[in-house]
Amino acid sequence: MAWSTPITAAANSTFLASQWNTGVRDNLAMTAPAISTTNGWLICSSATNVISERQVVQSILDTSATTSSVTFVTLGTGPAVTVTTGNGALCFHSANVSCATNNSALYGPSIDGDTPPTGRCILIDGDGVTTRDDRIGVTNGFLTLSDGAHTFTLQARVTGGGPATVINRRIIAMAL
Amino acid sequence: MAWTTPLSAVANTPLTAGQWNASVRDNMLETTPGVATAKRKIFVTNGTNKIAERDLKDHIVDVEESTTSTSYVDLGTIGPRVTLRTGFSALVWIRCMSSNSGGGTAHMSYAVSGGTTIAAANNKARSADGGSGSWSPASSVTNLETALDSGDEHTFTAKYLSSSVTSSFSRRRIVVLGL
Repeated sequence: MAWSTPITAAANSTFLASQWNTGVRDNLAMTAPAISTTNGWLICSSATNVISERQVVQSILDTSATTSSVTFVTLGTGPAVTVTTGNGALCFHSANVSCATNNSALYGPSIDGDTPPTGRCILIDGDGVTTRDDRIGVTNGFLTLSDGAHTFTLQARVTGGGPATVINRRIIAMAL
Repeated sequence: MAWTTPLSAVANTPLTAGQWNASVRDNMLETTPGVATAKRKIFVTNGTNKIAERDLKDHIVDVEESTTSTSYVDLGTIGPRVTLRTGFSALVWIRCMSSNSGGGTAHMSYAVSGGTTIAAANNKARSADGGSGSWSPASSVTNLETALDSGDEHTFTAKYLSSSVTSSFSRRRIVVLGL
């Protein structure tokens, strides 16, 4: 079934069963309550005259982990979330991030295994004297996705030296 | 009233008033315009064939205030805080600037009260480590609360903790989206 422009009734004209079925029944089947299957998902447009329910999902990993890798690595499970999207999603992540040397620690989401660009990451500069352990967050929009399932995985690296330490890690994906 | 599967019409079979009322009137009342009651709300699923409108609320407290408490407390000006009705979950954004009088950590977190009670905690806080008087840049963190009593009102109140020094906070924000 698909949405169609509802018929315009005319006085003294017979209302056919087929007109009811396409103009009323099938269109009602495309509305928000008709497609709702669960709790707390967003109602989003997904194409012309089509709407979808979209999930907001979170994963938490409170344990501490370290790396001295200068390429992005997944520490433990990340954490990571997988969500079915339309062509967009918002991704929120937060953590305590520190760097023990006079370098930088980066911690950001990889989507479907790509390499996070610096601008997508929490970035903490170390000074090699005092290791600061701030807990901060970053929001990223991914607005050119293909429709379907996508996995967001937090990954970390350092620019040199290290190690970087991450703790109290959270990632949230809001499918759109 | 509740959503029902709209009937399939059959040629040459009259449509009864009861069928119209159930398939059209009652179902139309369950759609987004049927449940909308106010401006600036969003719609979410609320079970099988059911939707709800949800609030997005924010509150700002800009004044600078401080604490030496090593457990989560209110500052002189309580909050920021917002109260809204949620489903099972809510997205929560908190943000502040903070500073410490010496080597220690300033934490801004939040507690939930109402239908469900949840204590403030470091693992969802905006935290600033060290500083000795310099202000940590304003930054936010986002959390998804997923164990709320659906349909109840909940109050989200910012709370503050200092690990070992005097911690000051300003430009405090909380934004909550019911889901």
